[in-house]
Amino acid sequence: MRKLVSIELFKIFSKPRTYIGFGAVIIIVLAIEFGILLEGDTMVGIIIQNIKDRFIFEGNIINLYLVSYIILNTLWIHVPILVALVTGDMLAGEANSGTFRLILTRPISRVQLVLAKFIAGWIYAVLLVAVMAILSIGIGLILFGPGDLLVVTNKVNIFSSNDLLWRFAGAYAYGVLSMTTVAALSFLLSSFADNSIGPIIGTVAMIIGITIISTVGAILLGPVNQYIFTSYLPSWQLFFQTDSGLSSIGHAILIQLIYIVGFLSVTIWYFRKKDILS
Amino acid sequence: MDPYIEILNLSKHFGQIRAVDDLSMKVLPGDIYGFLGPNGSGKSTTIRMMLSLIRPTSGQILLFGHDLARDRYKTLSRLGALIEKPDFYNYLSARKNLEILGRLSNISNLKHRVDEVLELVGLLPRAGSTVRTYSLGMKQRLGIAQSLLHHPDLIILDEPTNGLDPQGQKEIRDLVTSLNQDNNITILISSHILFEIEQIANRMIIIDKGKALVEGNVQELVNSQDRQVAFVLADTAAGLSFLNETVWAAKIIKSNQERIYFKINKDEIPDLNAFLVGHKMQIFAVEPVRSLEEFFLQITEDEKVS
Amino acid sequence: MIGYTLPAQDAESLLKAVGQNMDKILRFEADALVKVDVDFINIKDRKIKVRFECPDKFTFEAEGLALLPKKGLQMDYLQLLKAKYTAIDVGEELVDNRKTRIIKVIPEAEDSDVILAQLWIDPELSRIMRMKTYTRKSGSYIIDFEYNTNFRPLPDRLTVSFEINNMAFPTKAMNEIMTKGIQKPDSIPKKATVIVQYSNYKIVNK
Repeated sequence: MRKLVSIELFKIFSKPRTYIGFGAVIIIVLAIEFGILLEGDTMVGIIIQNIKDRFIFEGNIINLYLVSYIILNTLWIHVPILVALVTGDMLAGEANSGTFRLILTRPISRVQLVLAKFIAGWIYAVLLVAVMAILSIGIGLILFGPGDLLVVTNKVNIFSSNDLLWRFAGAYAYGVLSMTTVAALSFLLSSFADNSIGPIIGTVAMIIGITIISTVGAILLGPVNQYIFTSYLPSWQLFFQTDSGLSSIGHAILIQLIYIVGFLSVTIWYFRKKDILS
Repeated sequence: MDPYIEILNLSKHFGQIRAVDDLSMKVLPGDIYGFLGPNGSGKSTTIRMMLSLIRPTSGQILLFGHDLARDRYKTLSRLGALIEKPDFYNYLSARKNLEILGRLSNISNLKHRVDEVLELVGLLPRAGSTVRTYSLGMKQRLGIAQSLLHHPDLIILDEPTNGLDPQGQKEIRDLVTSLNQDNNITILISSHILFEIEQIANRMIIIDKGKALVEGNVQELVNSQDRQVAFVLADTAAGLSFLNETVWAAKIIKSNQERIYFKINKDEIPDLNAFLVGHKMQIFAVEPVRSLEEFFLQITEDEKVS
Repeated sequence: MIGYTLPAQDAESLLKAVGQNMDKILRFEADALVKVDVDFINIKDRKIKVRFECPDKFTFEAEGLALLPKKGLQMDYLQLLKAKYTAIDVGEELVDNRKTRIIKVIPEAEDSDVILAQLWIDPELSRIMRMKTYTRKSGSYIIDFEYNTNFRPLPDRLTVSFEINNMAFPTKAMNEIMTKGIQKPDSIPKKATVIVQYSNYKIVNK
């Protein structure tokens, strides 16, 4: 199994598209950081206008934590695309290039191959989130320095910098989990397809489509929405709310895990009996 | 000794289409076994079933005496294959491709073995280039190289000469023959070109629409039939006008500027050859020409008669 | 009856006395603990350092991010009393068990942010006990001053109360929108209270 994973990792890191992923993360992080450097004051000013009317802010609002928090929002759409770019290709790409014929006629089990590919794809997703985290914090430190984090949701939460380490660790860990769900979804679509465009676009379209439907139809779908995985893609934000208990984080994690296991099980079930016709 | 491949009443249906229909065949150790059939006759589907890429609808596949469905690992580790197009990880070098595949087959001393098979197919000088830069012929040879990596007793080659120029086709045929004779590897080779199988195989099966038409010894099957032969003469026009005055005129089917086509029995070929030489006709070449379709027609006609 | 027995101080001289009380100070420095109590703002108490230099220069130093009310901490009455104004004595009231006089101050300058201020002054110690200001830009504030000693003109505790609008831009957490749908923020202004607890005064008098 370890051998299969290492082979799959070798393949991932021999492909240019993998570096498109990392390149895109670097560009996104840089764009956001420099965007905030130029326009951050205006942006933050608009959002907290009502508070600025009544309060003097003493201290550094725009700091590395704020930019890192803003960059975390790319976990909702940007990073899933980049994850799907690689994981959506993992099964379909081999079908498309005809290389399944080479590897599946070797004495390895299909289930092991699927699991090895998934683990390798997952490692890529973890690295993507890690690069995002390290880069956003690193450049943030250089450009903005430390400070307390002001988060505007339905409330305004101001977290002391010494209260932030576990929150960011939790948020990034949760980000990895939600990207695992994205990976599992694109992996499932990848097992159905014989070229990688379908699974990549399919994954992104499903995330956006389901999000729109569940947001617009929230009143109708209300109870159902609690069980749709896209509802929990941005749940890393729960780590930045003071009044939300750990139970809602637990629920979000549970839903994600159920979807991951579900997507992966269907992938294995389908791929085991799939006729390799390409 | 068990047959290396024994297929019993194998069928595969894709919806309403019966791609393979109650097919049985046997490949014996030491064979170069020709698997003949026109495009779309079910050859590839059968081969894919032999390699566990496709699940049979019904029937049984025994490889080395073991049921493939039950002993997949054991059988696949003694088997090498090249199926249709030789596809590889184009972004990797030939050597890296082989190393990956070799690791999947648990080959010991892998680097050495990779060099060995690359040498065998004559790709060692280009081993470091990415497969993307390879010609089809090189890929085809690399395909054979990967099928040999794990010292298989049997290799299955699905249309290995497809798309190659005559020189490339000949190289592959020579390689197949030498693997069989020098390395004692049993080979199943599929093709839609009778001529090709006739040249290298000792036994063969012909299938059409998923069903077996005939199976047996190649020479016996081929010799029992009239064949088309093309004579390439130095002066086609002179040869034609001369022949038209002889008994051979009845055997001429057609002619063009380069060739005169005859339909004659195998034993008549030397006679005709001697006859022409005797009359100072210069012969550049004698080429067997016969399409599989015509061969089919004959076989099916013969079956009807008998 | 007391008003007759003690010499009645008029509004202007009361305010002047307060100003003179403060004028003695060249500079001071103090630690302060700021507690913000607003329904929709979560912030832990912040320690800040307050520095004052005569005549009216205040600087604050916060560890991290601190929210300070726009009025209250900067002894805004000092500026008010230095400009031209009209003062009216409107009576007396007990504040924090001390008798105070209520003085209304109307700045004369047209561009003054403060439209009207009402000060509750302890005439005995010439200290402000409470202040209510109505501003053009930032609404109205009530500031309560508490003192631990009789000798210091500077408060040991300030309570600033005012109203604040809810978020104009409800940039809600995406996960809440997706699980509960978009909810309208209520537009009722919320009560805000900021308590500032001073300690470690270091005062340098002139």
